[in-house]
Amino acid sequence: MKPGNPHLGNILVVDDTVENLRLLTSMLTEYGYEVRPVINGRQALQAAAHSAPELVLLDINMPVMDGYEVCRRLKEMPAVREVPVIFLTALIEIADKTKAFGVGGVDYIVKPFQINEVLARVQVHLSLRRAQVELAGNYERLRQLEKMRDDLVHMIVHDMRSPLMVVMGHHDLLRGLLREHLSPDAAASLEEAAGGVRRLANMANDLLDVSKLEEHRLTLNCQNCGLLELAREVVAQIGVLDRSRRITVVPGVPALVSCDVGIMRRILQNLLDNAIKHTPTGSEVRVSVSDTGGQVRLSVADRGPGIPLAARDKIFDRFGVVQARADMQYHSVGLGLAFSKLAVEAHGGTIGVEEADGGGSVFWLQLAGL
Amino acid sequence: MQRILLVDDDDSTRKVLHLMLGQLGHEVTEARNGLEAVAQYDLAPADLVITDLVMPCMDGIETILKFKQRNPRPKIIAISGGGRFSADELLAMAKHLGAQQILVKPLTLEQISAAILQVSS
Repeated sequence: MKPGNPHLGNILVVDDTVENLRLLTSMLTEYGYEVRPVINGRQALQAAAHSAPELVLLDINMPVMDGYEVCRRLKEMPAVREVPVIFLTALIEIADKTKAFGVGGVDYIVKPFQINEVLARVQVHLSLRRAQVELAGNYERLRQLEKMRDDLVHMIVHDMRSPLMVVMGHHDLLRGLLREHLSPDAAASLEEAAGGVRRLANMANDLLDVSKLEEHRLTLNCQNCGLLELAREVVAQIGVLDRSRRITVVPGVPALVSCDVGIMRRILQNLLDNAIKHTPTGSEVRVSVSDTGGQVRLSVADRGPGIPLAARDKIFDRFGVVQARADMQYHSVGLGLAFSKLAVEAHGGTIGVEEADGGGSVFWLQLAGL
Repeated sequence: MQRILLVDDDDSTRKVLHLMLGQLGHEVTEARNGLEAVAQYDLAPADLVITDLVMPCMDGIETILKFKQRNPRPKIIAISGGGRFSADELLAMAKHLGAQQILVKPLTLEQISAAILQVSS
């Protein structure tokens, strides 16, 4: 007998008939497999517990503990649970086959054995098993990488918050100290800087909240809120920073909903930032609300190049990048829209984009009204 | 006007918060961690403690617990930008332990002013 090659496969062979055991062992060893022959169920369980094989060839018809029972017990051992079991049987009743698969077997070989058939089936199930193991390993590695990425994001955002605090705080102080001494241009510069910092702070929050929303870990502090009033407030804040485009809130119903006001404010800021980014200077961004049949809808219409039909789903993906067909420029839409979608959905609402009459896009969100 | 004890390990954050609180008309003393804060408080009590949560030596959570045993007992505002736990989780913990107000960094003059007003009323 040649010594087996552990790289080719380690096989546990269980058969109470000594001739069969000898035949299988010498045949598999001949082809280079490492074989552990045992003559009953008890020995099989001991051998498997001692070290898990990569494959088990298991006789069904044995005294004391038959092959079905051995298989059942092997499947209860965590380290052996996934190891493929091929049954050996002289019985070929349909009921036996069904039972063999029922207890966790992957295949069966009918006695008397054909050498080539045994080798072929052993090879197939060993390579299947190895592919499974490799896949599971790759999955685990990817999962770890994803976790590392999320941890890194948390760390970066945390480290960003202190300098952001310093910039925002000093800006607030300067504004107070210099209020009466600044020229309009200088005051405008200061506000531009404030807008930039606000966007940076929003980005930091979006990054963290997107992860939390994806894992359903974000707690909403819901209270009653009128979307029209909130939209006016956000537009007033952004309008100070951007005088080159007209942002209009169309007068309408109060549009009362129950929502986390802080989160909803950020959703509106994101939708408006996005609209402004894509609207040419001198054009208009229109915000409107409606309340029909208990559904409150808020729309932000821009005069940008529009979003190709095929990209309308992708635009709400994390780090989705859309090629706007009209100007063939790549626009990174970053995290703002991904955050907005997840956050609207956490409120039980829906969000979407469609083409505006006369060109541009309408981003809309819909929530249950009060 | 409130006497405020400001606790944060980051020098520039502490400095800007000090200036902001000063502009709001409050009297501010500083500490760089919980240990310093408790020692400082025992020398000169404050009406309000504003504390960061992630700090060396004694973190904000332990600091809040220490101040709960002090007599007179100060009002507490916890602020955080997060760390090993997210800012929300840390701040929820702080609130549970007795902080009257919690704020996420970065924060504006307006937010600080509103929080102090709410805590002291």
